[in-house]
Amino acid sequence: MSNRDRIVALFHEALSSTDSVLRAPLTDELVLLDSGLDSLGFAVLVARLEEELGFDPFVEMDHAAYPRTFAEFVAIYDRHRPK
Amino acid sequence: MTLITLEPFSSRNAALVLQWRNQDKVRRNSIDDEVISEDKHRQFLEKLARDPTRRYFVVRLRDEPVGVITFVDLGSEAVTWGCYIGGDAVIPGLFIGMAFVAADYAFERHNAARLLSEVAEHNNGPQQLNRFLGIESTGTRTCRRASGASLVLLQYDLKRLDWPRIKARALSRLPQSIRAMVQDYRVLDDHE
Repeated sequence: MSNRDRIVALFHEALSSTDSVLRAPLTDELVLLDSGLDSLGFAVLVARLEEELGFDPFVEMDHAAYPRTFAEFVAIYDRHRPK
Repeated sequence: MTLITLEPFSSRNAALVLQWRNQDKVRRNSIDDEVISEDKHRQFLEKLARDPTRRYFVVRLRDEPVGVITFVDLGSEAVTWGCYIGGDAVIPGLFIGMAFVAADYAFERHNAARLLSEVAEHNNGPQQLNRFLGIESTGTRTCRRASGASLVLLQYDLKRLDWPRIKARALSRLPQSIRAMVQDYRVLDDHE
């Protein structure tokens, strides 16, 4: 399963666990702030991804690089995946 | 490494704060929903500087301004806090981080016994956060907004005695980046 597929699956899980609703299709262009998942939801998602993937790319994140779209969020995980 | 810094409101950050404060997403969730003018904000800063029971801060994450956190009734048994996130990037766990800082600031630095907050009925994010932390609403009240519309507020009351247990449980469910964020914070002096 690719990073993206796993992120999509856990994104839906985070929506469900925080009683949130996806407000637009989960495409690369989706603006995260408009997705329906809030700061807490993303914290839950990052925690689950840490469990599944074994790393948290936001540990060393510079503010300028925080993701605005779903594609950017996935790219962060692809970029920081341990070799 | 200290990731979160609290920078007191001042003329230096006034333009940024005003820009954030007047965003639709912030006004929608505020009791005072009117657009604040520069002049009114300047008058507010002058009053704030003379009031030791109120502290308003810009929250900086790795030295980048990301939001605002506020405290009123400092020095009393029950301190009320509020916050908003200013920018448009998603920073996972920032809201939780601000809640942790608020609890520590009120309980440890100002010896409060209770940390109060009020959340607009339509504002789901803070309600979700309180549910995540295990903090239940203690009631509601209805107020009149600056625009004249009525607003129902959910009230929350976090007791100092309950915070260590709530904090430990929350930390066990958070990823490494957020645990690092909430471990420590720094409060700048007014002159820094």
